[in-house]
Formats: sequence, C-alpha cells, structure tokens
Amino acid sequence: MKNAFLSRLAVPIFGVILFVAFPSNVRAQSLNEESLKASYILKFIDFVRWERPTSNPTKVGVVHDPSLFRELQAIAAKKSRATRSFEIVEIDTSSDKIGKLSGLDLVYIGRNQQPQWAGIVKFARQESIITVSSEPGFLEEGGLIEFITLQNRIRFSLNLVEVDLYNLGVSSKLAQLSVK
Amino acid sequence: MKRLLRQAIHSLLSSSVRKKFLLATILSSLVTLSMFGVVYVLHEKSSFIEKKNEQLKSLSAIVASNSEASLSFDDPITAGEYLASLSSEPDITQAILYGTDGSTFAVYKRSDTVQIPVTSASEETSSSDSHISRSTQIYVEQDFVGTLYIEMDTTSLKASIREAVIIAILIVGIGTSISVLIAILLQKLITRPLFELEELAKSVAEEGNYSRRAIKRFDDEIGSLANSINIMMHVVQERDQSINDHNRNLEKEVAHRTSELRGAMVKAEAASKAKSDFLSTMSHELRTPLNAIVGMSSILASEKIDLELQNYVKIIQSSSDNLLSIINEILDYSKIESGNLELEESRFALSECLEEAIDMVAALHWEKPIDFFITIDPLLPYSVLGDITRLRQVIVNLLSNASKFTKTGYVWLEAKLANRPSDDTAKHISLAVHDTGIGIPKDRQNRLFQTFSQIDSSTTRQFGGSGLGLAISQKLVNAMGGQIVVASEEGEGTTFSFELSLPSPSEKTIASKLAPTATAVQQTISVSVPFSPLQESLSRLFEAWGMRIEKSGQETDFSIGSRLYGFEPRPASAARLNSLTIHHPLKREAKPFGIYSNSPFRLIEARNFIQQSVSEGKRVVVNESQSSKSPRGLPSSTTRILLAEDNKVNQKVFKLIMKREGFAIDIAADGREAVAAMLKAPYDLIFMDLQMPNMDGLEACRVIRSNPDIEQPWIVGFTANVESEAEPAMRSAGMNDFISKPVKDDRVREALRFYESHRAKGASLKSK
Repeated sequence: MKNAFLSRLAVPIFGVILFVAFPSNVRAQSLNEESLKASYILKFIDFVRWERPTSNPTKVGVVHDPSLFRELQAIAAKKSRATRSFEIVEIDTSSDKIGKLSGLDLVYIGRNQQPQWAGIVKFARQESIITVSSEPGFLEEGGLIEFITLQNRIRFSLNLVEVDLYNLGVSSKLAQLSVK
Repeated sequence: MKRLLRQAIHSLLSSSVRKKFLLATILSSLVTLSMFGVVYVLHEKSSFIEKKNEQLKSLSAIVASNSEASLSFDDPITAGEYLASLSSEPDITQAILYGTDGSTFAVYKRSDTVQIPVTSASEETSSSDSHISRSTQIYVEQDFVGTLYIEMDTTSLKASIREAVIIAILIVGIGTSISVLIAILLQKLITRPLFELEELAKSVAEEGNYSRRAIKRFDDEIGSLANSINIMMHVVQERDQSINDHNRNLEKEVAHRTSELRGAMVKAEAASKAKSDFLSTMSHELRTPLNAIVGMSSILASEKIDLELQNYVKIIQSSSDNLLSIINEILDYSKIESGNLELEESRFALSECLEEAIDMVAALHWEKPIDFFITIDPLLPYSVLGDITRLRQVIVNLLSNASKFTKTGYVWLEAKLANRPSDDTAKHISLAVHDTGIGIPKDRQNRLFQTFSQIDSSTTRQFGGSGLGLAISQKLVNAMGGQIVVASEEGEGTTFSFELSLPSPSEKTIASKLAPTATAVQQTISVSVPFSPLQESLSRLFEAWGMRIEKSGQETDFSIGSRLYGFEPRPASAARLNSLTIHHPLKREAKPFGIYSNSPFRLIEARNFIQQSVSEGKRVVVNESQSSKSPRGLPSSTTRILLAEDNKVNQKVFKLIMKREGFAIDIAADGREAVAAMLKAPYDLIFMDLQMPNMDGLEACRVIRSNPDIEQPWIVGFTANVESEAEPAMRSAGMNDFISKPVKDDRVREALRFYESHRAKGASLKSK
C-alpha cells in the first residue's frame, strides 16, 4: 500500500522536479539554438553571390521571431568589420506589407507565417532576397533555406531546384552541407 | 709513385694516335655523360620533391576551400567525408581539420598506426625523410574558421631516385658505347690519312723514292699536311734530280779531271824522276871529277914536297872542300825545294848528336882564338826519336856559321828543356847557338833565311859560302816542326835558336843514363870554369849525380879547372882523387897537372873522369892526345881487294890511296867485269861504284850475293848520290858499307878498319 502510494506520489514529484529543473534547460537550449541559427544566417551570406548590386551594410530582416532578432543583432555587432557590416531589422508582414522586404538581402521568417510565405517568396525571388525559415514545408513553398534539427543538431536544407529563380549564386560548398 | 705516374703518362703518350683518340673520346664522353647522369638524378630528386610539394599545396588548397563551409557550419561529418575522399590519393597518409580553438574537427587516417600531430597555428610546409606535410589556415571572408593539416608519404622518392640512377647508368653506358662506336668510325677517318702519311714517310726513308705522293682526302689540317709533304717531296725530287744530274756531270768532270790529273801526275812523276835522276847524275858527275881533285891533292899533300908546293896543295884541298860543301848544299836545297825531303825517325842519343856536331866544327877551327862550349841540360831525355843526320846537319851549319863570323870570344851550343809544358810522349827541346861574332844588323835579319842571302856581297867575299846554309837549315827545322829565330846585336854577337818537339821512347834522362856507379856519388867536387853557363851546367850535372859542389880552393874529392882562350885561367886545385883541366887546344900546358880535356867539354868525359877516378882510386895522369889515338886496325896487306869503277881518274886516285896504305888492288871497269873477276878468283873486299856502264854496282852486288859458288866478299859501295834512298838501296842489294864520293883517304881507312873489325869478329867467332 505504502509502495503504491509512494509510486503514485513519485510521478508527480518527478514531474515537479522536471518542471522546476527543465524550464531553464529548455530556455538554455532554445537560446543556444537561436544563437546557432543567427550565426548560420549570417554565414549563409558568405556563401551566396548576388547578381544585383549588394548593399552595405548587408541588410537582414527578421519576420516574427524577436528572440532570433536579438541574437542576430548581438552576433552581427560582433561580426561587423570594415569590409562587411550588418543591419538587422524586424519586419512585420502580417498586414500585407510585403514591400517592407525591399532592400533586404536576407529574410528570416518566424513561426506561424505560412500564409505569408507565398507572397514573401514571390517578392524575395524578384528582389533576390535569401529566404530562411525553421518551419517544415518552407522549401516546398518555394523558400530557399530551411533549418532542420537532426540528431539534436541544427542542420539546413537548400532548395537547389529553385535556387535559380532567386537569381542568386549559391556556393557548392554550402550545397554540400544541405541535408536534402 | 711519381715515377709510376710519369711512366704511365709516358707510355700513354707513346701509344698510337688511334689509341689516344679512342681514349680521349671514351674519357670525354664518360665524363660528360656521368656529369649528365648526376645532374639528371639530382634534377629528378628535386623535381619529385617540388612536384610533391605542389601536389600537396594544391590538395591542401582544394581541401581547405571545400572545408570552409563544413567548418563554418560546424559539420564535422561532411568534413570527415570530404577528407575521406583523400583516400584516392595514395601518398596522403593523413589529413586533419582543426577548429579555431585547435581542437580536432575532422580526421582522415590511411592507417591506424599514423599518429595525429598537434595542430600548428601557422601556415607552413615541413618535410622529413619519409614524408612532407603542410598546414593551411582556412578563412571565410577573413574569418578564421580552422586549420587543415595534410601529410604526404615520400618513400616513393627513394624508388624514384633509384629509378633515375638506373636510367642515368644506362644512359652513361649506352652513350659511352655509342660514342666509342662513333669514335672508332671517326678515328678511321682521321688516322687513316695519318697512317698513309706515315707509310709514305717510311717508304721514302727506306727506299729514297721521292716520286711517291701523299693522297689528300679532305680539306682539313691533314689534307694541308699532305699538300705540304707533296710540295716538299716534289722539291726534294727536283733537287735530287738536279743533284743526280750534277753528280753525273761531276762524275764526268771528275773522270775528265782525274784523267787529266793522272796525265799530269805521270808527267810530274816523270819530271820528278827526271829531276831526281838529274840530281843523282849531277851529284855523281860533279863529285867524280872532284873526287880526283880531292884524292890527288891528299896524295900530293902526303908527298915530300917543298913548302910552297905544300901551300898550293892546301889551297887546292880547301878549295875543293869548299866546292864540295857548296855542291852538297845546292843538292840539298834542290831536294828540299822539290819536296823530296824525307825525314827519318830513328832512336838516337841527343847529347851525342850535339857533341859530335860541335866536335866536328871545333876541330876545323882549333887554331882560331875562340872557345867552343856546349851545355846540355842533364834533365833532357837521353834518347829521342828523329832524324839525327838532319839535326846534326842543322847544328853543324849553325855552328859553322857562328865560327865563320866570330873572330874572338866563344861559340856556345846550348840545349835545354823548352819553357813549354811537355806531354807524355814528346819533349820540347830548345836548341841555341850563341856567338860573340860580328852580329847582324836589324834590317838585314829578316833576309837571313832567304836563299843565296848574306848580309852583303862583301860577306861572301870575306867569309865564303853559298848563302844557302841558313835557308837549308830553316827548311830542315821547319820540316821537323820548328822555326829558327835569330837574335843579334851588331858587334855583340848572334843567337840562332829553335825548339823541337821530339818523342822520347825512354824515361831516362841524360843525367840518369850517364850517371857513374853508386860509389861515385856522395863525393865532393869543385868546379872552376869562368864561363858561367858551363859552370852552371856542370854543377847541375854533378848535383844530379848526387855529388856535392864545393867552392874552389877547398879540399874536395874532385876538381875541375880551366884554361880557356878568352878567359883567365883557373887551374884545378889538387883533389884527393883527381883533377881535370878543360883547355883550349892552343892553351895546353907543357907539364900538365891531372887530366886534360880539350874544349868543348863533353858529358861523357865528365862521366869517365869521375868513374875512372873512383874505380882506380888514385890519381891518373892521362895524356889526352895519347888517349885519343887509336891503333891502326887495318887489314893485312895480303887482303885481296877489287875496285869496280869506270872512271879512269878515280881508278888511279883510289889505287894511289890504297898503295899508300900498303894494299895492291885489282880493277874492274864495270859491274860485269867485277862479277867475272869474282868468279875467276875470290876477293876479300870489293869497293864498288854504283853508277857504271853495262852493269851498275847494285846489280853486280845482287849477282854476286845471289851466286852460291862465289865466296862472299865484304862489299863497300861508292856513291856520289846524296839521295836518302841510296843507302837503303845499297843495303837491300847486299852491300856491307858505303863511302860517299869524293873518296878521301881517311874515309877509305875508316872503311878498311870497319872491315877489319868485322873480319876479326868473324874470325874470333869461327875460332870459338
């Protein structure tokens, strides 16, 4: 009886322990993931060549992902140098303000923005803007880069089929790392 | 070592041109190809390393570039996969990617044994014996993303070098073989013309065939040499031809000239013979009448005739003597001028020759108030080789000359060693005749030796003579290898001197030859002669004999004094053993003290004086005149004597002479009669003239000697011939003695004595 009680009690205790202990870990993992993605986003730029004249500083827009935006800002501040500097902007495209993407070199599209994808992709292709998202199915919608988590590691897939529609030159070195 | 090297070089240089050419080619190609081989191997090695470095650099660059994304996006799996693709490169042993913090990002290892090195932050290439490695730092857009380290195995380098060495050896071997083959082919091209030239030169040297020509094959140096040789051969051939032609002409010319010369020689010989015959005839013809004059006058002189007639006879005698002397001189001179003078070379005693010469001259002038001296260096050789007759003739001539022109004072014959060094075989002897005569003016001295030259015509008138004497003497001395020189002061005197080099067959000197026995030495002697050269000469002689010279007046074993004509008398002091006085014939004392000797004083007299005194050991008083007289020594009057002479006057003269000597003779008018007379009745002695009609004396002598039925007589030849060949001819014909014409009674007596002495010896031998 006592053992049954203890067994019934152990589950909620373990759950509490997990609750107490995990949020910070999850946060930490989430932060680490954001930071890694932010770093990758800036590195993508190193492996892509635009056919149009590029802007300086390189302009990176973040749609609906404030934490990544902050991470980007932090990393960009460290990474900016004489030959290349970054400008990180947060963009809201919910009210069909696609035009706000104009002048960007790369745009990261956050969660729950699937309805916007078609418009953004279309605009991005016209403007040769690299489109990046962590949402599954982004590539199928015409997106260019999609982050994937494989074996607890952040990897990415390149839409090598439609890369030409963006009028961008993507390095084969980057292509080699593409999961798909 | 150096000698061996030198020998090797010498033998190399002495080898044939073909061998030298081959050796030079092989050596040069071997050296060149070896150097090429070494360079090739080194180049292969450096190329290999360079190639590997380039390959590594290139691979590093590619891998680094391809790893940029993996490093950037932290994808070690992709990086590892990519590194694994290096497995297709067999030399890559490992490749490692290091992260920015130096941690290993991705690794490729060909085998597990390979050790992963600690990363190197810097970009560098390093190498070791077995591998080379390269570290490459990887940047993406100036961001350092990691380091790539790739290591490459270089063990294949050794194999590659081995391969290169084998190739090099093959190249050297094959290349050298090819060069040897080429050299063999080429050397034929080069040496063949040389061998042809050599063969040509040998053939020309051996056969002397200058018509051959060298073949010019190419326009090179050898071709040029062949051209030059051909030109030279052509020139030599032409010259040879020219010389041959010239020689042929020359031979003809020589034959022609020889024929001419032979003709000329025959003529010359005929002329010479004619001259010789003429001389012989002339001497015979001149002497034959003179013979009668001399013979008759000598017979007349011995007759009891009054004083005036005796004076006439004396004049006839002296005139005929002079005439004889002149004839002799002329004949002598003719003979010398015609080149018929032949000098004998016989051994004779020099001192005796000189003493005989001065004796002869002194005897003729004994009544003159002049002294005759002879000084002979005792160190002169005793016997020499030469012509005694001619030397005596020269000395007599010079002494006669000196005596003729000296009224007071002395005539001195001096013989000494010349001041020139003598060699082993011949001695240089200086002979001089000094006088205190009238002297010869300087300006006339050079004419002295010319023919028929006297200082002036008055001389001839005053002193007589043909003027040929000195010229003949000079010619004779010239023929003997000397030269008479004259030194004279007018009114003071004259010296004629000459030097002769006479071979000396014996080492004996005059002093040693004439030395008295040992008991004579270690004696003392005083020499007191006012003529200092004689004093000195005698002193040297006695000293050479080991005697001690003491001053005059001291008691000595021997003493020599003098009573000369032109000097104060120096009587010999009383000596323990004996004393001797040298005197002039006119200065002899009535009561002599000790031994007397006429001047000139002879060496043999000095020897006898010492020797006899020592052996007798007592004082001896010898009357010189007594001692000089010899027994009559003539054959008995029964001796059968035959005269073969065609000239009636001479027959008569000879018969008278023989009659006076107590002999009756038979006469044959020619050789044939003489032989007939011998066959009829044997004669002991035959006086035979040489020149007779029908059969001459020589032929008659030969007939007699060759006839075994004839009891062989003693044959004395008469000859008016002064030719030197006369005596040998007479000896070879078998004559025992000869007398020169004109026949004088004293010469006849001498010949009779000689015969008697010979006969006595023969009788004595027979009796024994």
